Amino acid sequence: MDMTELQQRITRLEDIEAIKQLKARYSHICDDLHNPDTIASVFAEDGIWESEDFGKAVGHQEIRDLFKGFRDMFTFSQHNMMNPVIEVNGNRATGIWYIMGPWTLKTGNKETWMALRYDDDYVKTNGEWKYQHLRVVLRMTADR
Amino acid sequence: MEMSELEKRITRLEDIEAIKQLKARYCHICDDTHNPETIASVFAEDGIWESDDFGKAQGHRDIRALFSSFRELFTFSQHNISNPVIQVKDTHATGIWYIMGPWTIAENNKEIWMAARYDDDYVKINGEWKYQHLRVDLRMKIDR
Repeated sequence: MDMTELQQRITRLEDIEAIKQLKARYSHICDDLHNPDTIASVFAEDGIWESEDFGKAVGHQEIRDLFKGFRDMFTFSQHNMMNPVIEVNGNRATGIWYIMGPWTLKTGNKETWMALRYDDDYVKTNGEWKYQHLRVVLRMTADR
Repeated sequence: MEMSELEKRITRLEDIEAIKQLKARYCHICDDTHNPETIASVFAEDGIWESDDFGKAQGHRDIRALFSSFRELFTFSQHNISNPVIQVKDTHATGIWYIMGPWTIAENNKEIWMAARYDDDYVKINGEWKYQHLRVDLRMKIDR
């Protein structure tokens, strides 16, 4: 086993860990009242946020606007991320995730649980992983 | 640090990540309405699925039959897994997990939460990790 192959194997593991941390940081931004000032930092310039249930935005400007909308829609959330299946191929990667947690809707101060699934594409630019395309599907909601 | 020791350390990390992804893929199959067509793919030929609460099956045919029955029993689930403790020894490994999530029981459309704990054995066959023995213990069940 030569050093190059070992290096490649280490890089893959580092990339997987970096993508897990990207996902966690995304969650923290969402749970900081869907902060429109910081959300763009985790997306590529032409990155996409997409959901049949919640809307679609392409590029930083639209993503900021979408998150301003979310800030008006939800007063609380906790994006608990689980079940990652991450595959890395050079500077591209895909990830499947589950998320489940509590949200509070501004309208009616309604407290809910939601369970969703992410199918994402990521891109590594200048050594840093970012979202190329976030896709999220709502699987279940329930009153708290 | 000699090469073979580095290799061993990398292999262990890769094995841990592979087992985490095996678990996540198992969950996706379960949440694909307990798909009996695909569930056998994550078990060794003589693999065992076992639970005091839900039954026991050994080998692919019995496991398929068990999952066919789960498909009748539940109309929805999301297997959110967390808290992995994975120990690898060559081509065998153990894993402890928590799982918590929503299920819907077909019979009366009853919506519930369940929390359970897995204590699993895994085996690496031709470079691929599979379940040797899945054991799951229901810890909590409550109406949604």
